[in-house]
Amino acid sequence: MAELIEIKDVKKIYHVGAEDVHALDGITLTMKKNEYLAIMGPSGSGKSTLMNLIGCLDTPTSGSYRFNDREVRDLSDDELARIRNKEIGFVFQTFNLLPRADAAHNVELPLIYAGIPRADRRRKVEQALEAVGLAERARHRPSELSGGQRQRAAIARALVNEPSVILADEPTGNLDSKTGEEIMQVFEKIHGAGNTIILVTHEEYIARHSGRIIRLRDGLVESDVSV
Amino acid sequence: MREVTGVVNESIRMALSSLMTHKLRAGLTVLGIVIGITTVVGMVSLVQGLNQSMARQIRSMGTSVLYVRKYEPGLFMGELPESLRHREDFEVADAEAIERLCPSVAAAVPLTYTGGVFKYGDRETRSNYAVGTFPAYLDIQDLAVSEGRCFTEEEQAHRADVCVMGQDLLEALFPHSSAVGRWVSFGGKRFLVVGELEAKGKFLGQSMDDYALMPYSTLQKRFGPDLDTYINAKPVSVEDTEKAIDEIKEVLRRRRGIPPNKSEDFAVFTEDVLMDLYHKITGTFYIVMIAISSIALMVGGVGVTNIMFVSVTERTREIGVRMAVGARRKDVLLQFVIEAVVLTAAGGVIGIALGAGAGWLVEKLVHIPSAAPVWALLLGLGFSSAIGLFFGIYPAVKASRMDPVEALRYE
Repeated sequence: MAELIEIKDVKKIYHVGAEDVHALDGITLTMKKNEYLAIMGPSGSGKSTLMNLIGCLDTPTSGSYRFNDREVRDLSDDELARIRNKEIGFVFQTFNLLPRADAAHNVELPLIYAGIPRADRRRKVEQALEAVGLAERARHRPSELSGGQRQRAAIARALVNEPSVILADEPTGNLDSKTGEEIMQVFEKIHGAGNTIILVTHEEYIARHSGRIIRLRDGLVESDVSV
Repeated sequence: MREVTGVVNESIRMALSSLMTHKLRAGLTVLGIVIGITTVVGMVSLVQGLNQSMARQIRSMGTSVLYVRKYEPGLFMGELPESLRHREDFEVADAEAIERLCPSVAAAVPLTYTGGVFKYGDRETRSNYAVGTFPAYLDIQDLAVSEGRCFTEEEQAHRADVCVMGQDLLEALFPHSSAVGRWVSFGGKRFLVVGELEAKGKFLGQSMDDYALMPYSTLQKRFGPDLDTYINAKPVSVEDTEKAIDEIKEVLRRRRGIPPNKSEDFAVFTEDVLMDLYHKITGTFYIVMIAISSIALMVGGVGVTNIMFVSVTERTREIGVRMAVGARRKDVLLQFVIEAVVLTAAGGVIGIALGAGAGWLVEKLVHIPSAAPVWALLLGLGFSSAIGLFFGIYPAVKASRMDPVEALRYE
C-alpha cells in the first residue's frame, strides 16, 4: 500500500532578524493510512512546525513532502486549500471555533468550502455531531459550551469532510484531566472507525493512547517507536 | 465544481451577524453613506415631483400661449446684461398689428403689470398685483369668469375704473359675499368689481389666482406711463405655433426696423422655453446634489475602509481557522468584500428610506410635490453597494493574503 505521508529530509528555516532559525533540520518519516501517531517533544523541538507542514498550512524550505503521492511543494494556494478542506481535519488546543457561530455552523464550515449542497451538509453535520456525542448541543454557541463540548465540536468539524488524516495539536492542553481523558476516548473511537490520526502532545500519558510515538528534539527525529 | 452560492450565503450570513453584533459601530461607519444617499434620493424625489407637476400644469393650460418679450427668460447673475437693458419697449399698436397681419395668430393682446394691495372696508389683501390688458386675454390664457362679466372693449377704450378679481383676492376681501358691484381700492385708486375669475389653483406652490385684471388703458392711465408693455398671443391652433412665431417675428422686425442681416432685439417663445429654463434650474439642483452627496459618500467610503481594516485585524484568528478548514484566498476575499457591501447597502437602504421620507415630509409641509421613482431607489442601493465594493476591496485583499500559520497563532 502506498504511504499516506512521505517526508524526506525536510527542513524549515525561519529568518528572525539577521538570524536563521532551523525549526526543522532534516526530518524523514513516513506514515500509512489508519495509523495513530503521536509526535512528542519539548517546546522549540519543531513539533508545531512539522504539524503545520503536514497540514499543508505551510511549505518546507527544502526537502520533499508527498501527501497521498502528490508533491506538496508543487501545489498552488488553491490546491493546498483544497487538500486542507478534503484531506485534513484540524483539532487545535484552543478549539478555534468561530465565536458567533453555533456548534452546527462551525461543523458546517468545511462542507461550505467544499461546495456541498445544503441538504447534504445538514445531514453530514448531524452525523458528525452524533459521532462525538454533541447532537443535543448543536444550536449552542461556543460560549455556551463547556471546554470538553467545545473540543467535541472541533473534532466533529475535523471529521465532517471524511479527511485522510486528522491533525490534533495538544487537543487536551486546555482541558482538565478527566475531560482530557474523555476526549482521548473520542479519538480512539474515531481511530477505530478507520481514521488516521496524528497527535501532537507533550504529555506521556496522552501519547500512550497512540500506536506509535515520534520524539523530536532540535528539529530532528530523536526516536520513532511503535507501541 | 464547487458550489459558489454556499460561500456567498455563508458570507452574507456572517456579515449580517457581524452587523448585528456591532450596531453602533456599523451605524457610525455608514453615516456618510446614509447622508449621501439621503441627499440623492430626497433631491431626486423633489425634482421628479416638480417635473410631474410642471408637466401636468402645462398640459392643463391647454392652449399654447406665445410670449412676446424683449428677451428670452434666462439665468442672469445679478443685473440684466447691458446689451439687453436698452431694448425698445412694445406698444399697443404692436399687439394690434400682430393680430391683424399674422394669419396664424388668433389673438394678440398687450399687457402690463403693477403690484399693490387691494382694500375693501377694513379688509386688505397681502401684496398682489393688477394686470392691465384686453378682454381677449381671457381667451389666450384659457381663463373663465365664474360670476359677473369681464370688462368690455368699450371700458378698455374709455379707461373705465373696473376690474375682474382672482379667487385669492375675493377670499381675502369678500369671504362671505359676492364682490360684483362693489368698489375696491388699489394703489389709492378706486375700481368697480365687475366679475370674478374662476380658480386656477396652485403651480409649484405658487397661487395662480392672486391678481386682478383691468383694462390696459386704465392701468396705464392710473399707474403709467413708465410701466413696461408685453404681448401675449395665441396661435389659431397648436399645430400652427411655429408658423405663428415666424409671422410675429416678421411683423415685429418690420415695425422695429431691423435689417435682414441683423438679429432680433426681442424674443417670441412658448412654454417650452420656460420648460427649458426650468430644466436648467433643476440641472443645477442635480449638480449641487451630486457634489454634496459625493463628498458624503467619499467620507463614508473611507470610513468603511477603516472599519473593515479593524474588522479584518480583529478576526485574524477567524481567517486562519477558515483557511485551515479549506477556505481559498478568494473565498476570504469574497467574504470581506460582501461584508463591506452589506454594510454600505444597509446604509443605502436607510438613506433611501430617509430620502423618500424627507420628500414626503416636504410635500406635506410646503406642498411641493415629490415622487421617488423606482430608478432612484435602485440607483441609491446600487451606488451604496458599489461604494462598499470599492472601499472594501483593499482590506479584503489584505485579509486574503494572510499567512494561515501566522493568522492561527494571532492572539
